[in-house]
Amino acid sequence: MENSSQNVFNQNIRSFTPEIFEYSSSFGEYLDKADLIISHSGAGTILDVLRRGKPCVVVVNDTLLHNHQAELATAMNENGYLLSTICSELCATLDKLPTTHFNPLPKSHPELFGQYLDAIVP
Amino acid sequence: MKILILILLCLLVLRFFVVLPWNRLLRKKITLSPDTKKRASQRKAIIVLGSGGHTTEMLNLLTGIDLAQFTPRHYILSETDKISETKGHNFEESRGQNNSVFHRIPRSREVLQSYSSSIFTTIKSIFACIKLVITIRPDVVLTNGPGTGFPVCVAAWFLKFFWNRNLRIIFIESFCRVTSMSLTGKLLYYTPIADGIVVQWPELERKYPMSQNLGQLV
Repeated sequence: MENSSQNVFNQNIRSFTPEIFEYSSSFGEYLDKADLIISHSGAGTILDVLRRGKPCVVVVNDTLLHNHQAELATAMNENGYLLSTICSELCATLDKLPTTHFNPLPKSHPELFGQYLDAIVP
Repeated sequence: MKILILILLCLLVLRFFVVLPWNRLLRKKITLSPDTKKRASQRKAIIVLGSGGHTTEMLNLLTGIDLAQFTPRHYILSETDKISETKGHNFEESRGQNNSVFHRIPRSREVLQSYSSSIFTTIKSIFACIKLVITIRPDVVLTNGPGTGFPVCVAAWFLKFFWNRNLRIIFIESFCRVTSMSLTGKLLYYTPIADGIVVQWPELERKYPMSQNLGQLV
């Protein structure tokens, strides 16, 4: 199963021209144009993607010790907001995409922080 | 003479107990209410912009507060962090505010700097923080990490101890911390420096009962 999906991926990648760019302030526009985002597990990128309602696959770096980035990916995966995977499982995870239902990320509530601050500061 | 020193010591110990963050130590949670408090005067705020994702999260948090109440806002950022300053200016502009000041402090440790020489730069950075905090005399200090925020909080704690016991020091843990707290978070959690530790996941609040979960804020 995993082998076959790897083959498919290898075949497709020949007709796929990657565009590589440096840190860009118009990163959001790239996200807007994309149908699927495969990302590292940074909170900033994940939030940027999920707020756009785009499907997201997060690849956790499992070679780092005590990688706290895995925490967020795991929690978001459990809540069904995205799919979390590791490098060696990426192809198998991509195969699951057509049958995966993503839950929309709930709205954030910064106003609760405002209320908290209002209450704690005399 | 001995008596005087003894009295002074007792007063300092007493003061220490007065400024302890009792609500947090007794694990009391802050009750939230949508009605804004009527304050006679505005509150001076220090906001630490940590860099990168920390800065973005902090500015997102600030969208939830009543800026008119927490003014002027003194942003503290590290000397080498140009992006945070731009982001901060953009934020203030987008909210139609003009009551903010940006301060730069030397970094405690540059990337690739050796640990031994970083002791001196850390001390330098702590002195810069103390000087800033004394001149600003804030009513509230907000930080969400990383390390940059810690010396600011220590300096603010001394100000709270000697000057203004109503000063509030608040640390907000990043949204990406679900089950483990960051080093700065732990430092402020286990010392009586912070009055409030805000986390964004219930799992983390369960593990650190002296913190308060507010759910996803950013």
